[in-house]
Amino acid sequence: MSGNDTPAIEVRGLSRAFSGRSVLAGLDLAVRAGEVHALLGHSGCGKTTLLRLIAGLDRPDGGTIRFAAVPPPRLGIVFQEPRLLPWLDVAGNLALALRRDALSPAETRSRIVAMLDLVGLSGCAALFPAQLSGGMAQRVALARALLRAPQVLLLDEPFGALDALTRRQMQNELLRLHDRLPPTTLLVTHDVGEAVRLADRASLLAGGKIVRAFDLHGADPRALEETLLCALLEKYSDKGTLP
Amino acid sequence: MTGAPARLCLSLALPLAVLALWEGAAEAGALNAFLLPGPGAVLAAVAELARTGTLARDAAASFSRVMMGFALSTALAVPTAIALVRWRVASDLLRVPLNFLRATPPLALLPLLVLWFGIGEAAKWIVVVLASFFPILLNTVAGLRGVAPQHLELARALELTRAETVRFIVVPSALPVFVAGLRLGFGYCWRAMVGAELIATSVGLGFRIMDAQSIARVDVVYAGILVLGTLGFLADQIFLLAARRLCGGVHVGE
Repeated sequence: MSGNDTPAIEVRGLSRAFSGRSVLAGLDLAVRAGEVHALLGHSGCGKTTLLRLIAGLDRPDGGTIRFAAVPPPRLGIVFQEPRLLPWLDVAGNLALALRRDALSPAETRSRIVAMLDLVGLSGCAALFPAQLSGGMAQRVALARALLRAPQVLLLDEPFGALDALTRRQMQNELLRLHDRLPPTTLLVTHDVGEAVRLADRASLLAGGKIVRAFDLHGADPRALEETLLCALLEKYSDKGTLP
Repeated sequence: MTGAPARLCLSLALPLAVLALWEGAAEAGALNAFLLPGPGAVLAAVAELARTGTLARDAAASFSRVMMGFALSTALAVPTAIALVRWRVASDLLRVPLNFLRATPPLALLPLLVLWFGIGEAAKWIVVVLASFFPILLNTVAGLRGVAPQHLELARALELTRAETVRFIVVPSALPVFVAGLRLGFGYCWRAMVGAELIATSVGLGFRIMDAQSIARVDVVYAGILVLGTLGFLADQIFLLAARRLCGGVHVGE
């Protein structure tokens, strides 16, 4: 899981305020092609806002977001909650991700079956979202994002709502998937351990800006976790916002 | 006994008890046979209406009025609802007239409608339309406004076209509330139809009741009421079945 030095996503001076409250204030960030980049920070620090701006689901008040790829890359996004449509079964939900490709029904079907195999949900195509556990639903959401064959994968605390065991399982799956089809990945998380396990680099977001960046390669994971945790604590105790 | 059979027995218990009590009181001579004939006499009147073909003719006339009014009402309410949700200027423009009309009981307009359209079918259709337009309109608006913003955002993230967003997200998510509005509107149609038929017509279940009263056939009055209630109930059940079939897995009400 290594990237080269070309930024696939380059964010410059990005700002966004909601009803007068500034959330992002001149944020700069470069995500290298092919890397998994973790975006760390306290709840409410603007991680999700940044992800939504990059995904084009919201407009910035100022600043720019540039993608190296021309035309702009295909994005896959996994939200904090699975966001499956309750009136469609798993296959129906997944088929929505393939509509842009205008495939034949047979091709759509076979891609869905293959993707369900990949995320460990073989035989679940005909289930409805209400019949899925939280972990299964989030796997379907991940499958939906991956079906678009994204060049950039945006993950918004995708495993935050899962129990520890399922979360670990999903993290391992993501690592395995990323080895096979490595899109540039931006992972929003507040879990330092998750960042260390999954990411090549991490950026710490506080006060609407990236305040520190870390290379997560090569170092001892325990030491890294400690460094990241200390950095997080330091940032937030400075501002007196730690609960 | 548990489950569906038990619930069916329970829901039939009260009507059957009332019927038994009524029959018992009539048998014992405790009731004024003119003001409240026994169930036997009422059923005999229903049988008589059925035998002479009056019942079928009346029911067909009433039913066709309801269906016509309901179809017109739906055809008017759905585009209006879409316009209200889609364009703010439409909702600003129509707010006062719609609320004025909503506050006006349709039957109060009947004398005027008879003046304008005569005693033909048109006046009755309009009363039926006025009675059912608002439940359908308001529920359609509520259904369309109730589409989860997260689902619309998902549509954007998946780059669905506008038509795909409507087909896969807006319609299915508005459907249960919309169908509830249709059902409510259908019930109102049925009631307004009877009201409209009380005035100026010569066929229909509402007319039959008024006519029977004027010739002092109270048993026929009761027969008419019984048939109206039963048909209305059956129509609602059929409506619900059809809606469930149409909507697949989507919950559309009890």
